[in-house]
Amino acid sequence: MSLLKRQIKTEVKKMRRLEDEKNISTSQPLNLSSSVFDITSPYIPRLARIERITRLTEKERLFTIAIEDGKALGHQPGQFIMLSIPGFGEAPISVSSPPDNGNMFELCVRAVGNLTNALHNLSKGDRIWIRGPYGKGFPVESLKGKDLLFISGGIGLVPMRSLIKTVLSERLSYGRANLLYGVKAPDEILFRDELSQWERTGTINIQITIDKPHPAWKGHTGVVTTLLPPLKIDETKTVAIVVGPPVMYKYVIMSLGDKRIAGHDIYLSLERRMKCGLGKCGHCQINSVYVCQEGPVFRLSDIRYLREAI
Amino acid sequence: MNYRFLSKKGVASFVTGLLKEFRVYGPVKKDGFPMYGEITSPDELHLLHTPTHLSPKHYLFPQRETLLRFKNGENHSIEPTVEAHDQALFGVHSCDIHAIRLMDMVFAYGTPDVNYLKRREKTVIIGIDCLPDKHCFCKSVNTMTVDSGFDLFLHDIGSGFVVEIGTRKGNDLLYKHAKTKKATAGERAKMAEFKNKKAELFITKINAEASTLPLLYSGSYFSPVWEKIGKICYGCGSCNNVCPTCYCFDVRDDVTLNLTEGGRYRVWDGCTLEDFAKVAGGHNFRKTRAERLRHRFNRKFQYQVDKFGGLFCVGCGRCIRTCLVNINIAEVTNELIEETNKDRS
Amino acid sequence: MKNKQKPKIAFFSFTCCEGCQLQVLSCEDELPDVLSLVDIVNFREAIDEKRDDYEIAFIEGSISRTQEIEEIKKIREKAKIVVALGACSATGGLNCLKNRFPMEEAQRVVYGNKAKNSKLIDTIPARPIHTVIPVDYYIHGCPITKSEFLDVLKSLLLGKKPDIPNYPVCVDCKMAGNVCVFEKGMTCAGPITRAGCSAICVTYGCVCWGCRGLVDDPNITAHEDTLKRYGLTVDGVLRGFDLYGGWEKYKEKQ
Repeated sequence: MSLLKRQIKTEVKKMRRLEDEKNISTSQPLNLSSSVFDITSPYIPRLARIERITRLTEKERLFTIAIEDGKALGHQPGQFIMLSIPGFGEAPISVSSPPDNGNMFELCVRAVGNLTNALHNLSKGDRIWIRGPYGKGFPVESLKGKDLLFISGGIGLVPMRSLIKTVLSERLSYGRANLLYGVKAPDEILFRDELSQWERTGTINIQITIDKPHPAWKGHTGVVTTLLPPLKIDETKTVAIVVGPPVMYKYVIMSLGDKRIAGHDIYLSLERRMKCGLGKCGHCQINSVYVCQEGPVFRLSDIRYLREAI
Repeated sequence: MNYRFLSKKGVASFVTGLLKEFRVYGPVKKDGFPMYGEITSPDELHLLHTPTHLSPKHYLFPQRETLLRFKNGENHSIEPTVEAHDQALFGVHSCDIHAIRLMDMVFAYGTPDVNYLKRREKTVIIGIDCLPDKHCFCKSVNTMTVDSGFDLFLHDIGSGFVVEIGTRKGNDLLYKHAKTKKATAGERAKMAEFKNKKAELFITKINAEASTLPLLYSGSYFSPVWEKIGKICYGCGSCNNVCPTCYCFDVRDDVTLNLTEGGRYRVWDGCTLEDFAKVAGGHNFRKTRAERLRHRFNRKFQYQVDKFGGLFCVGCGRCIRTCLVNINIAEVTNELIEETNKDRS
Repeated sequence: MKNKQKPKIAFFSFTCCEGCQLQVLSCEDELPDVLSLVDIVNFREAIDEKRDDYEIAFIEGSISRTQEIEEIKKIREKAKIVVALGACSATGGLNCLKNRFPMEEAQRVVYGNKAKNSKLIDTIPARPIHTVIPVDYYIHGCPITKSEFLDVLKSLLLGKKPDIPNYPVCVDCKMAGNVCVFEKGMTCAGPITRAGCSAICVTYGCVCWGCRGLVDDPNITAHEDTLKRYGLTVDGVLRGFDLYGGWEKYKEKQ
């Protein structure tokens, strides 16, 4: 029992510290000062228009969006926006373009639900609504000087493209770069032209794999983790960035462990259902973590023991 | 703190006064059971009541509320909407006042939620003493009494009420609409008497200090209890909907028949419902009822405590009453305590 | 929208009381707006016109005669979208009560001794329409609710999948502010029945009979236990599922 008591004492101390940190006291009523009410509704979207639509695959299209107020989106690679079409609702969508001072940005969207299907039915010049950017993106600054290992599955390449293009725009600030990209079938490869262009310039080493053998595919087959063992990397200066479907993470993390990459040096982007983007609606909650606030990009060492995260 | 004495008859004229300024909601009888409802005369109030079956949270966080209205096409427009009116919640119990304080924190932290806060600002809260029914366990989670979060609080001392004044707003309303006198030391002593008597009446209890519960839950993630209760759970969301601190919501759009005008509204959602954590691609991050129940229980005793500092279970016992398969949050907690003690001995 | 041709919709009914079509017709305030969005080209209960160039077919009623199978297949061929309208069509509905009896007996009781030799009044076990043709969307309820019909229609016109709830009636009931039926000493099918009705029956003092069919993942065992705990016998429990759950039960037996 005394052990329990001791543990409880530490826990209570931890809770108190947390309270202090967040400056939320349980014993004082909230100050509902009038200044709170002067702010506008956080649900009001910014208006934007579709500038260009590029068909990438059967299901995915790349939308170039222009914000009507002329201001930049102001996002970091890895952040997302809440996209909506009035009448069709809202959904979180990762930004696929690198940060830009202009009012344009890109979204790569797979048609899977009501909203994304409706988006695919829109044409150039049509209006959409956006809120955000929201969440925490990739730690661009702390990646500088490191070797980068990008591992991506399916549409995981979408948010990763924002980071890769950021890295490429300042290529000399980073070390070696590898991209391992796994898709189900050859016709699902996204950003084909860009991939081959990146490859041609020789600034990033790219390997693509297809899950199962396919008559139209002459390259590597097998899941994305099969690309890892032969890859030569310097584990002392490599940071891995992993984005893919939920099922992929567990296996990639194990393979990265085999490569002796520390959990501290692995970043992931998690997908969850989101309805507000403001840390309120509860849908994206993993234990006490709101993915829309503290994520979607997480450092593995921060969430390895977070139950239900991976 | 200022205490005034209000006679039992005085309550009626006070409520009549409030009705001139506010929409007044209070405990009434519906089909013979205590529920909150709008009143138009003080006679409708049933003040000495056990807990209402539903919490009063919908007066601050309605089941469905419009966030914005829009017009599409040439006359494109977006109007944010806040549906708030002056309202008085009369006869709120201490557990629900604690719950409202937690909701205030939730909707004010980070990006403030104007819709909630505006409504909260227009709300007067008048609390009242209560006695526990067989499901109440507020004493176990330290919400049996409340020292702030209300404008006025009525303590029943038999001969009348000692009114505890919580805010200036409450003070002004009391002086405007009621004849009161200063409460004597004797009358104030009776408040404590009531409290002591109440403390003896609890049938449902949690067998550990409230402060130990976050750690207990954190250590009980793999307990067999979750499978056990997951098996009998309907996944009907009733526990979410009756809970005064469940605030999860969905956001949806609605259009009129011209298909170009419409509104974006939010509506209550519940983490025990099947599709709560399901994404558009079809993956469900909490597929089983057991996982969803574990999430809900942990939200009350651990997860939200990490975020906001207070236990999110206020011991009102409503989820116990509403659960048709008798999943009892206090009993489950006691089972976890027992398991944990067994593991350690 | 103005220059585009209006989508054409049609209503058909098979074995049913046509109460769901009546619900559609009773959307009096909304019908003018509806008619500005769509052309109704076939609706026996309301208009004389009968064209078969429709895009959306709302089909009411269950299938309980061989002849109906052929008829509904023809509708499926012509319609781009088929919507099951109401409980009979979506789940088999009350008509499936017939399936507890031998078909000859049902035929004799309803049509008399001479019916046996008549081809016109042959009878087969009543079934929901999805057992005969593929169905795109379902509007549940006995009868349907007007607002849900209009919501589904709006969704289809916008080109989106209608949002039909996959949670039990308990959610609607709590939101409506009702005292639980079980609290009042009665029993109810709400905890396993698909919501979307605003719990109208409980709100007006009745209980839920489960007319909207089951949620995707109902906990039937839990419900049986609950009903027993509230004093129902095994027979009573089974009968509780009969009224609208007839098809499910018939299917199990086969």
